[in-house]
Amino acid sequence: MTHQSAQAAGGQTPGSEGKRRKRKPGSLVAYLYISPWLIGFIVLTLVPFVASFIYSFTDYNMVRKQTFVGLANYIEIFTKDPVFVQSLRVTLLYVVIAVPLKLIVALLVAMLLNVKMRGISIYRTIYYLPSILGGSVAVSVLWRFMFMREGLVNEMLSYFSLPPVNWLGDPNLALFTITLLPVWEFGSSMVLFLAGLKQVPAELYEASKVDGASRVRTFFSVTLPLLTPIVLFNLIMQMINAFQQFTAAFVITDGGPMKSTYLYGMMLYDNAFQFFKMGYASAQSWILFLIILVFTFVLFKTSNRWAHYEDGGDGK
Amino acid sequence: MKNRNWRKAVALPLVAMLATALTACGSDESGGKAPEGKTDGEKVTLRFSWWGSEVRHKALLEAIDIYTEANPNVVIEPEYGGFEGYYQKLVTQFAGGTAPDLTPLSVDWIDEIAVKGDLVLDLNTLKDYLNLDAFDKEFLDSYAVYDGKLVGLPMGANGMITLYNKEFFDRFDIAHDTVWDWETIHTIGKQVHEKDANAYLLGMFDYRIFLQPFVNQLTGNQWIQNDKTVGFAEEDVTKAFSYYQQLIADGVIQPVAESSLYPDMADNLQWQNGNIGMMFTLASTIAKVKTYTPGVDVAMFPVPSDAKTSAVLVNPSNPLAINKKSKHPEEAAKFASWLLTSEEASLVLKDVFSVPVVKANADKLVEEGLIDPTVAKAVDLALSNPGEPVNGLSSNQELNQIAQDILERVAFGKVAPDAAASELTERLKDKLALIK
Amino acid sequence: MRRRKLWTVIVLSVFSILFLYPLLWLISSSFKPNADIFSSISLWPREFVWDAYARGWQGVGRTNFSTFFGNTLLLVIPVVVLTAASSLLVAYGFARFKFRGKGLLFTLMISTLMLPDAVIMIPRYLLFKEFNWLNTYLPFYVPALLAVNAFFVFLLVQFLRGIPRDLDEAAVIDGCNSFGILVRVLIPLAAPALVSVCIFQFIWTWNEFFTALIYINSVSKYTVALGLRMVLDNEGAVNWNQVMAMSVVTILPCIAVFFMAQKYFVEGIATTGLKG
Repeated sequence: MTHQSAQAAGGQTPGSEGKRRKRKPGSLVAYLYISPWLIGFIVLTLVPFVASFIYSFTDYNMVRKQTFVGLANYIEIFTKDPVFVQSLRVTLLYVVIAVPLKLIVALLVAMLLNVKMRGISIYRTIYYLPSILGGSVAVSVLWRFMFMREGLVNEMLSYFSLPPVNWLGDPNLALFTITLLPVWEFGSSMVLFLAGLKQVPAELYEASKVDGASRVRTFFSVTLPLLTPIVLFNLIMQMINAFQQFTAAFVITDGGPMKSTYLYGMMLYDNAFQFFKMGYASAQSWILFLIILVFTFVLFKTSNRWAHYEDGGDGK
Repeated sequence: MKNRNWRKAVALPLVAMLATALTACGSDESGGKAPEGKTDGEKVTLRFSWWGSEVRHKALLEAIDIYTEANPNVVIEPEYGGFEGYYQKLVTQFAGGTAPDLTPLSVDWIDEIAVKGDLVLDLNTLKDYLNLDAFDKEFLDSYAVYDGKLVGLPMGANGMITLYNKEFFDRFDIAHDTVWDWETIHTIGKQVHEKDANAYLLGMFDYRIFLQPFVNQLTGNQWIQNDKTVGFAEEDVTKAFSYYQQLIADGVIQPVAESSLYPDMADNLQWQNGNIGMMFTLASTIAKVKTYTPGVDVAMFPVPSDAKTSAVLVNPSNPLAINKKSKHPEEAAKFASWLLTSEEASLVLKDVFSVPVVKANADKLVEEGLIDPTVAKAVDLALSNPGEPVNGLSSNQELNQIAQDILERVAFGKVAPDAAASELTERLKDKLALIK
Repeated sequence: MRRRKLWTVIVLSVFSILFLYPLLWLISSSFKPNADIFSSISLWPREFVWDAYARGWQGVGRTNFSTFFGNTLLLVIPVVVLTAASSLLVAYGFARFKFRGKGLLFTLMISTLMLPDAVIMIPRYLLFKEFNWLNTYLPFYVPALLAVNAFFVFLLVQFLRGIPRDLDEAAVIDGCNSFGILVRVLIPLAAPALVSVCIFQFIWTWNEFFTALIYINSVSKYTVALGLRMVLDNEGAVNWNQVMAMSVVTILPCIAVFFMAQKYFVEGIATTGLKG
């Protein structure tokens, strides 16, 4: 990421014209505010990061002394590792399906739940339940129960006289089914959309109503623009998480059938802890880091055009 | 700005911290030699960690209480939990030099932790504190000595057997005392499926229960030889793959698209519902299987009459190892020895680690009816015709995963047996060249 | 308007089965005999087992779930409070000030989320070991105090930036310093976002298994997430109805917290009249 894109997210450019009058007496105060993070970064985060970067050039395996191997890990990844290619392919597909699907569902449900009505809090809680249960020990069993051949979903299909589907056993379908688990746990994105909707000033709706705009148009002309900072946040965070997704595949299909759900996170885990190749896993992690960085950069870049900030940041 | 000095002030501790993060493990000052004697009277604290289910936790806690009561100078801190994450935590602790004094090792980890990592003591160096004579020497030599080192005291004996559903066998008129080989599996399995299209003799095959022993029986060699060459010819694996595809085609095995969801057969719904007749599994899993399917019995693993070796897997159930960095290795050894050889302890532990290796204790438990007779029978069967102990390279998980992946594609019919065999050989050779 | 509400209720009710089913299944499993849990999808137990809760609560050996719950509260509450406070301060610094290196620092902060945990775990463990933090809750408290999780900072930055700056300026005219602006103007307006931070951090820390597993050795310091999994062996027999029962008990506080907190999205301090 360059400075530009980051500033798009984090406020004005130091020299942006017209805002000079705002310069506060010294940026010392600002450093004071961010100092907890700064200290945390230097003391707690930086060292592990640099260490893992160095590991990526070694054959570190956690239980023996490591030796420096230069670029050997990276060369092996790109030239001799068919599993890496497969896993990357699966992961990209996963990200492309899961992220938009989850955000659209979360936004739709948040719109539905953003009404003043008795009992709405119960519905909100119900729709958040999967996000609470996500960490439960039983979730893998449960998911199998829902999607196995004799499971709940197929039973529901049979009510509509539809044939049963082999949701998790068919290598062409398993990834899609796995994707539904995190989509179903859309609760945290939904909560943020709800919180964002609360920030939309009521007068704007009223103004729009006075103009006689339809609900759909109000959504696109009033609500959505004001929600863009939250959309950007959810988009970036969900994408980062999706690239590192591990649980969904690990607990339900264990990467199978035929590696069709072998997500990048699982490959890292296997290399690091099953195969004792921490150096190799570190190299793969840094490759993933770069991939995520590029995607994030692109999102931030394009967000200059569509994200709308009330604080008068860039593009205003 | 005056940030020059500031930078330096930050940079120095950073470098120091990084250094500690990088010099993770390996040998250091304290490694190797243990401080001698003079522990009598002095309070000694030992950290003992393990994984397992409720019965195992309760039994071990009780055993610890008995021991510490008799040895008031010893405090044993139990650190126990489920299996999930146990191994990662253990490896992390070894990397940090904070591993417990005593821990069981799963057979899969021995090669890395005990042999290559050299992180646990060779118990031969502590034999003054251990009652090694209580064990069958041959068993110890075959299954607990790696690279000349006694890596741990076996907590129990474990072996691969055929486990079958008695009701299923009766339903399809299969004799309980059938002596299984790959031939009979095919014929009987085919008949079963012809009688009932929803019934299958077997669930799923994987590398460990099928490919490795099947090929081993053909060749008599280790899967991967000690000199880092593959121990089989392409025809051998081709035979295994064709056989597997034949079983699937004839309905002997449940379709993989259904069984692949359950890597652990005990969880397979069709098995639980009695539509699958048998499985190959380790004796240690019998307790779990029985919670869902109580009516089971065991038989010998399939061994053809012309097999070069039985290939029946026998292994020590989680040898109990002593951390090389332990400050009190003698005390740890004394406790380990008591735990695994004394009759007192064995009456408490019963079969929570499968059947005890110490013969006298095992007999006593059987006699008193304290051991599940199915488990005892299973271990007896496996030990009556054991295959060669599997060497380290053949239990290398990365290599095994390659075999497993290809086996799965064979099962899905995505690759022909001969093509699969040559791909397998090729990829194993590639990986072996990279393994140090 | 009324028709719209009616439709909302109908749609929400129809789909709610997909979201309620897991909880109902969990509850029903806690009353089933062990052998039935995985072999029948029926929610109604064929035969009721009543003692799973009582026996599950006992835990194993010397510690029971009272200890685990106590420990979890001791862990979660400070973490939630510290996270909210530190993340807000840092977010305020990033959202409302200009300073040298801001772009770079912001980029660094977001990028700390991009490296998978699997490879940071060991060096971080070694570091915390140097600090003597093993087998304590400090590996949770200190990162919370120092706003190490960039997720929360970024979240609050995005919300603060959605609040018009004119309001700050009005407060300056009233004689507020920067901290005064934060407390008097921004905190009330960002309440829904802060509540979200607290909900997330509460539930995530409550359920956090892996970090707790790595750093906590003594069973007497186990949290509920560790307690729940401590009897799950890969081979041995597991009393699943007890595990399910304790899972139900364990998620109840999370449901309660969410239920109580979500009202801030209904009555969230209205921005009415503030927009210039």
